Amino acid sequence: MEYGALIKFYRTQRGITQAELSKGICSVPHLSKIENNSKEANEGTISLLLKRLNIGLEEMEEQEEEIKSLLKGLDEKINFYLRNEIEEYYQKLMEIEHLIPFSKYIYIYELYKFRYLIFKGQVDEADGQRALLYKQKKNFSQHEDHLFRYYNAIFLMWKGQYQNADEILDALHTENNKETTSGEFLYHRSLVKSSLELSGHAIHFGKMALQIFMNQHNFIRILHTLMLLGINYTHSNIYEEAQECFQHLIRNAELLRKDKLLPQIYHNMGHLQFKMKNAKEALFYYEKSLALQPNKNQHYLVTLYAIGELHHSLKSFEKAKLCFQEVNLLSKELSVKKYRILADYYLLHLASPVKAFKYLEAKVIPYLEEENEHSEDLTHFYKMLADYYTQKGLVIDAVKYLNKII
Amino acid sequence: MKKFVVLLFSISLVALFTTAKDVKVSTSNSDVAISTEDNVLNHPIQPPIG
Repeated sequence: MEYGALIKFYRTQRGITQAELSKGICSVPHLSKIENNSKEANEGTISLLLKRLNIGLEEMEEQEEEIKSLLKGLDEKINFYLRNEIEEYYQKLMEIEHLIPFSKYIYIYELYKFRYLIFKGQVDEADGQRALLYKQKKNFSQHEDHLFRYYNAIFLMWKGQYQNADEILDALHTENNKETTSGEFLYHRSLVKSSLELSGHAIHFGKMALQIFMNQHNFIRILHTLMLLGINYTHSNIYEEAQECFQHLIRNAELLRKDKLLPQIYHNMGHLQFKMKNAKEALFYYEKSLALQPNKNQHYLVTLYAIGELHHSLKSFEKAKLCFQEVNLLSKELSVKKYRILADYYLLHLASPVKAFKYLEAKVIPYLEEENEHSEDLTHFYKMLADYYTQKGLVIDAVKYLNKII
Repeated sequence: MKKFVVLLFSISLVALFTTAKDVKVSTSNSDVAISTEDNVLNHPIQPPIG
């Protein structure tokens, strides 16, 4: 504990002068030096000063231990993805927050607070905390600096800045000679690779994370990692392994009553079946996923869009139209530009393919190129436009899009 | 050099499209309605970041 600062804080709070507090204990200049931490006071003096302020020295030491244990607990609960316990620990820390600045855990606390805000998805608050931490950066120990950069990478993932996040995680991993015992760190490495569609890397880190989570019996993160592996096996066309992951996930998510995860698993199983060209099964899983999503959020939107596409490819145009109309409305409500313009494209395609291709060229492709994500989408559209122009006999335009594929 | 290679490639593609295929020019809707059978637009839902 920083007793000097603590004494100053309580003395000022209680409206006591330095002369009043130091009377009979030490001189005023001595107290002043203690309060400014420019002089190490002996335990006896500190104890007497605290006693006059009605604060017990032992009690303060116990509080410091309590801070340490709560911080350790909070970190552990975040790593085990235990939502309720995280809240419990955070609230307990808030109760003694006023004491934390006097403890040696001041920076760790602020860093864990940053992590907590990210975990809760409170992006604006997390951004504020990040700015606060950035100003203190030069005072961090090596460990604290490592944590700050790691949490910053997780924050960037929340903001969708996967490339930057990947660079930070890669640098941290290299600094540690590619050695880590943190399943959570490896999980985030895998997740960021997965978001960048680098499936080989995602599988590599995912497998490492899974091993650690299994050793720790970290069941929730095991489910999350299996989902990552399933997605990336699907993306790499390793269908048998992907199917195994999702079947395992469905069984265990039901067992562990992870109701929020189930619709996402069904969606990804639908995606796998779609890639395997099992249209009927794909529709079955997508619809199962949709039925389990009571809130019309972004996940609902993605599933509904996938169903629309499936109907479209099965030439059930009326059903596709209904889906895309709903996608269109919902994406406006949720301000998701990507699905709004994609739904617009399909609705146009159902009415007038010529207009749809114009829209594709004027709106969809520029948007996807600007977003610089999901390269498969772009390739798909380039190919469509190249085919379209070839059929129209406009070879130069066809070549323009074929060149983009290359 | 790079530009030259791209140019050569483009020319060869133009030649491929104009000679190897009997291009049918049509403006009717049915001819330009290209199937989206192989589309890959639907995406997986990633697990939570936490």
